[in-house]
Amino acid sequence: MAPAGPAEDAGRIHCRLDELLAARGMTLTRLSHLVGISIVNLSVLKNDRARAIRFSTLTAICDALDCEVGDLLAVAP
Amino acid sequence: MNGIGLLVLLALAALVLIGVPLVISRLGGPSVLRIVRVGGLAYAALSVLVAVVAVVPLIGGAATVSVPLQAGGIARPRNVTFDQGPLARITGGSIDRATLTLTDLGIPTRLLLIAAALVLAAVSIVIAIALSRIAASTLKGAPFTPGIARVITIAAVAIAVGGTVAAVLQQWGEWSAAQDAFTVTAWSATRITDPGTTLADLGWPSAGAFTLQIPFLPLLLGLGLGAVAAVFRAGERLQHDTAGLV
Repeated sequence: MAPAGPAEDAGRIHCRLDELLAARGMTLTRLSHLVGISIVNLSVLKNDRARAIRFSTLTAICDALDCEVGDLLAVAP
Repeated sequence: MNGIGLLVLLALAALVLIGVPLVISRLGGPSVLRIVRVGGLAYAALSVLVAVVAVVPLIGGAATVSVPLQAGGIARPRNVTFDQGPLARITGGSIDRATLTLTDLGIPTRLLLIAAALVLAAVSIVIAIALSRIAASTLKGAPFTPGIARVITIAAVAIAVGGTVAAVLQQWGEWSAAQDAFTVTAWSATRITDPGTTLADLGWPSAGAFTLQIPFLPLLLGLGLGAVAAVFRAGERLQHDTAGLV
């Protein structure tokens, strides 16, 4: 069986934004204000529909939520 | 055309040359794109109309065709003295074309001229639709929509190949029309004593030789559009790479 390509692998990344927001009692709208990223784009990220993330986006979200990149993203088996 | 007419024409030309770029620069991108989107479709419709107007007389009527002639000199008529004018003196040159209105053209001539008109119309329609689609997709905020590069490539090939083919067919058709119009296989005349007299001596022109002139502008425009298509393909790839980027 051929190894999965980059496009298939992107689907295995799970974003824990929902859990991190819930733990901090923060809404997506508030996070959007803090990081300067549109709610639409944050929703894409939250619902695992993003196929790529900018370093600047990761940095801004991790700063706003006071977490590490590994807390935000996980690779599904 | 008299002097006043020429001045009015020059003023209109200046107005168009200065006014159109000024209006386009004032309108801004979206307005220009809207004009191109609608104008492209209007131009395509106009091309159909122009083709119909060109083809109908060729099917069964009097068609006006510019035909090549065997080059004949221009000389002052014998026993004539010009008392006033012309301003310039002719030192050389020839009359090598005539614009004729012809009926009863041969079938091959008609087919060639009809094919030239149809190919030219098809090229115009393809280019107009391509421009309209580019404008429409850019207005939607997705200039690099998949398929646009293919449309531009088709337009590039159409203008390079179609433009050249149309020019060849037109020249061939015009030469064939000249043959139809001037070729006389048997003739007779009264009051001619010299048996060596030819029709050319009596003022009947001969059809010009077939000389093919390949226009380079369609090839150049086709190459230019091909380059634009390559840019759009690169844009499509970049858009694909950044799809889903947060």
